Amino acid sequence: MTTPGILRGAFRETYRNIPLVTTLYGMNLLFASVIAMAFRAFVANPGNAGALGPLLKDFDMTLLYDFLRTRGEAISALWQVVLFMTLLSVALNAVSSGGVLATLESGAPYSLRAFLGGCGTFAFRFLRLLVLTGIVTGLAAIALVACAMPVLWWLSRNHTSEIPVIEGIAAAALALVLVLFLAVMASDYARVLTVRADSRSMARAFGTSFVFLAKNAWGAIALQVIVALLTVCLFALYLGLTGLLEMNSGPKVVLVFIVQQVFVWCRSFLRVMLFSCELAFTCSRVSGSGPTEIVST
Amino acid sequence: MRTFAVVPLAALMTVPLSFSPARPGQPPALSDRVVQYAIDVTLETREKTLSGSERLTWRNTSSEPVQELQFHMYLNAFKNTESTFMRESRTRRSVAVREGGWGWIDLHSLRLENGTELKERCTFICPDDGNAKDRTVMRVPLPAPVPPGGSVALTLKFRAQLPRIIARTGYSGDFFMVGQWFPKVGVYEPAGTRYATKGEWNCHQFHASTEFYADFGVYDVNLTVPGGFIVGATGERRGERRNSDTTVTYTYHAADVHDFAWTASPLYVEVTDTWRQVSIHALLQPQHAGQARRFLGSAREALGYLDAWVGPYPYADLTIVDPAWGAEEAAGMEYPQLFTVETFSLMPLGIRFPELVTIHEFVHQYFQGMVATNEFEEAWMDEGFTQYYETRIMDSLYGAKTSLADFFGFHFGDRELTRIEYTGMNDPGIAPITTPGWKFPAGSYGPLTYGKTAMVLSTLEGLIGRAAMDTVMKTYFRLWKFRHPCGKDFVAVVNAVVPVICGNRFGPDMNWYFDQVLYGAGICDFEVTSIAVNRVTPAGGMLEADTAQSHAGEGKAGGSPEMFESVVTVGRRGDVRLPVVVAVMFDDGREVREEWDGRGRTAEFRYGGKVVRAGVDPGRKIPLDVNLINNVRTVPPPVGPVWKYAVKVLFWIQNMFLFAATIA
Repeated sequence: MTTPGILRGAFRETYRNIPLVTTLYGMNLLFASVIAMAFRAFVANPGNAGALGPLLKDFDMTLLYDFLRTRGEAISALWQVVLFMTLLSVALNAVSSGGVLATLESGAPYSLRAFLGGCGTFAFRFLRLLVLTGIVTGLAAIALVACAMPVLWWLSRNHTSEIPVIEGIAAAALALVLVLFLAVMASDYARVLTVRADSRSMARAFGTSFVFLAKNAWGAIALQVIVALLTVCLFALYLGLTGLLEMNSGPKVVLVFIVQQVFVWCRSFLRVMLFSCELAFTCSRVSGSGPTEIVST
Repeated sequence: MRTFAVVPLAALMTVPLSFSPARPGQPPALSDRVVQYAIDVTLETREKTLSGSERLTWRNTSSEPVQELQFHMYLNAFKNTESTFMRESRTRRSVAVREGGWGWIDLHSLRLENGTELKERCTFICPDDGNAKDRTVMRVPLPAPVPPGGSVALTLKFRAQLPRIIARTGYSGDFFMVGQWFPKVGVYEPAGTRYATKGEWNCHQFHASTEFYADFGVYDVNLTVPGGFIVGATGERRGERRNSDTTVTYTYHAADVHDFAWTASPLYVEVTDTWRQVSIHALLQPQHAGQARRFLGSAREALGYLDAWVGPYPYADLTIVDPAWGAEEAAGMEYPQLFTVETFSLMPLGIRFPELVTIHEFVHQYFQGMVATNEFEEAWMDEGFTQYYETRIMDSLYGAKTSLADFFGFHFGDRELTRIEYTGMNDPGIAPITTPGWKFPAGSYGPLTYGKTAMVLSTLEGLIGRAAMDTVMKTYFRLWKFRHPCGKDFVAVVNAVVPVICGNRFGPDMNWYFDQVLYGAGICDFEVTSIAVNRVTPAGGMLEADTAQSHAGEGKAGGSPEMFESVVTVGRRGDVRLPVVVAVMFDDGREVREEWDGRGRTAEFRYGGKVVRAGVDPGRKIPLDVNLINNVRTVPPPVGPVWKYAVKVLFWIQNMFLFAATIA
C-alpha cells in the first residue's frame, strides 16, 4: 500500500471513530481542567484580581512579575499539581493507547466497553514499554551529550567566533531530536506490534520495532513527517485565527476558548490517525500478517 | 517662597566652572587637568605582556603640602588568589582566573625628574580591608613634599603581564582589551572635596564589585603593536609610524579624561559613522559586522538624547569595541571615549540587547566619564544614573512595553526589567544604596546600585514631573561635569531646583525623600487595604426637617433608588513615606482623585455612592513600590483577566499533555 493510500485509509478509519477521538479529547480536557481550575483559583485571590485588569488588555510584565513574586508559595503548590497531573497524563496516555489500537485493530465501531477493554488488556505492558522507552531515550541522550560536550568545548576554545559553536549546538540538537524521533517511532510501532501479535515481552517488541523501522525506514518516517506537518499546519491556522482575536473582552475570550478546543480536538484526531497509519503500514509491510485477534489477559 | 529656593541655586552657581587656561593654539581646558601622562607602551602579543615607560606630572591642587603619592596597581588584582579582588570574587563574582591566566604589574623603576630613584621607598598598603597580601595600592613617600599648587614629575618603568580576560581586562587569543594597565595615581582630595574634612588620598584597593576613581588630565600615549593589529583607544589618534621591526606605533592624545584604555586585535572590522562633530568608530568582530547599524544607530540616538536632555558630548571621538568570542568578561565596560559592548550572531532584531548595552555604556560617558563620581564609594551615582537614562532612552526609542524584547508576542520594557531587578531581590531593604561598593551584602550590589537607584530617580521624576527632573539633571551636569561630586552635591542640586519649579509642594527641600531612599534601606509599598460598600438605610419616621420625605426608608420596594456609602481604606506597608494619588471609581463611571500624604499607616476616604474600584498611584509614578498587585481593588473582583489566563493555561496544558502523549 502506498503512503497516500495509507493516509487516506487512516483518515477514513479515524473519521469512522469520531467518538474515540472525542473520548481522548475528553480525557485530555478533564486532566488539563484540573490544573486550569487550580490556576484560576490561584489567580482569583480576592484583592489581587483587580490589579490584574490591565492584563486582560495586553501582556504586562510588571504586573505579571509582581503577581508571581507575591504568590510564590501558591505557585509552588500549583507547580506540584502540574507535575503530578502531567505524570498521570503520560501514564494514562500510555494506557489509553492500548484502547485506541485495540479499537482500530478490531475494525468494529467504537464502543466504550471495547476501548476500556483494550486499555486494560495492554495497560501494564504499555506502562513497562513507557519506562523502557524512557530508559533507552535517556541513555541515548546522555551518550549524545557526552560526545557533543567535548566537541563543543573544543570548538569554543579554538575559534575566534561563536558561529562554529552555534553550528555545533545546532548539529547536536538535531541529532538529539533524531534520536528522540526514532525512539518515539520505535515505541509507537512496538505498541502496534504488541497489539497485533499480543507480545508479552516489551523489550522484544521494542527490539522488533527497531528492526521493522530499519527495514521500512522511509515509509515510516514519511508517515510521521506528514502527520507532523499536518499538526504544524493546524498550529499555523490556530495562530492565524487567534492572532485576529485579541482576548480583550469576555465574548472574545469565549471565542478563543472555542477555537482552542477545536484545535485540541483536531490534534487528538491526528493522534488517532497516526495510530491508524501505523497499523495499516505494519499490516502492509509484515508479510502474511493480517488482523490478529486480541487475546484478553 | 521662591526667594528661599533661589538662594541655594544661586549659591551653587558660584562654584568655579572655569579651569586652568589651555596652551596657546589648543582648545580650552574642560577640566582642572590635575594629571598629565605621557606613556610609551609595547604590546608583546605572544607573551601577552606590556612593556612601558610612563612620565607622570601630578599637581597639588590643595592648600597644604603633600608628602606622598598613592598609585593604583590594578593589574595586581589578578596576581594570585590572595588579592582582595580574588578573595571577594569567591562570593561576589562568578569569575575565576583560568589556568595560566594570572596577570600582574611590576614596577622596574620610579624616578623623580632629578634622577632620584624612589622604587625602594614604595610599599603596598591596604586601606580598605587590611589584606596585607593585596598589591593593588602602592604608597610612594616623596623626599620633599609637593607644595600647594606645585607639581611633581616622575618617570616610571613597568612591565605588565596581562591576565586571560577577566573583569574587563586581559587577552583572549589575539584579542586584547587593555584597561587598568598602567601605574595610575590616586585622587588627592583637598579638604571640602566630597566628604573630605582634611586633605587626604582617596585610593582604594581593587574590589570584586567596584570600579574606579581618578583625576582628570591629559594623556599622550604611544602604543606599539605588531603590524596587522587594528587598534582603538581613548582619545584621538594623532599619528601612525611603521617601525623597522614590522611593528606599528600609534599615537593617541586624550584631554580632559580620567582614564586611558585601548584594544587591539587583527580581526576587527572597523565601521565608522559621525554624529555632528563626533566620529564614531565601531571595532566589530567579523561575524557581527552585520550588526554595525544596531551599535552605531543606538550610539547616535544616545548622543542626540543626552545632548538634548543633559548636556553636550564635548569630545571628537567615540570608539565602540565588540570583544572577541571567549572574551565576554571584557563586555559591557565603559572608559572615557571608549566602551565595550556585547552581542551574538543571529541576535534577533526584537531582542534589543546590543542596543541596550551600547546605550548604557554610552551614558557612562556622562555619568562617571564627565561627572566623575567616586565609583568605589558611591557606585549608585554612576551605575544608577546611567541605568536611569538607559531606561529613558530605550523606552523612548522602542516603546515602554517593548524596548527590551518584542519577540513572538512576548514583550517587555527596559524600565520594567530594571524595576524587577530591584523588586525581585529576596530582601530589597538589605542595605542603603549609598553603601560603599565593596561593602554590599553578596548579590545586592547590582540590584541596588543599578535597579533601585534608577527607580529612586524615576520615582523622583514621577513626583516632581519630567520637566523639573530634566532641569535637575541639566543643572547637575552643568555644575559638576569634569569634577568629583558626591551624593550630597546631587541632593543639593535637587533641593535648589525643585522649590523653584514646584513651589512649596514638597516642602522647603527634598531631604525627606533622599533620607528615606538614599540613606535609608526601607521599602516602599502602598496598598488599597479594603473597599467597604454599605447600603444606607434612609432615615424613617416622621422627620421634621422635610416632611415631604418623611416616609423615607422604604427602599426599593417603595420605588426610590438604592443608596450606598463607601469607605476606601488605603495603607502603607513599607517604611517609605511618599505622597500618593488615590483614584476612586464609582458605579456610575465617576472618578475621584485624592492626594494622600502617605505619612500615616492608613487613611480612609468616605463617599456617598457605590465605589467599584480604587487604586493607589494609578499612573504608576512610583516605580519604587515593590508590589503593584495590592495597589488596586475592585468590587466585585473582575473575572475577565482570571478567565483569560485560565483559558490560556488550559490550552497550553492540553497541548503539553498531547505532546507528552506523542513522545510517551
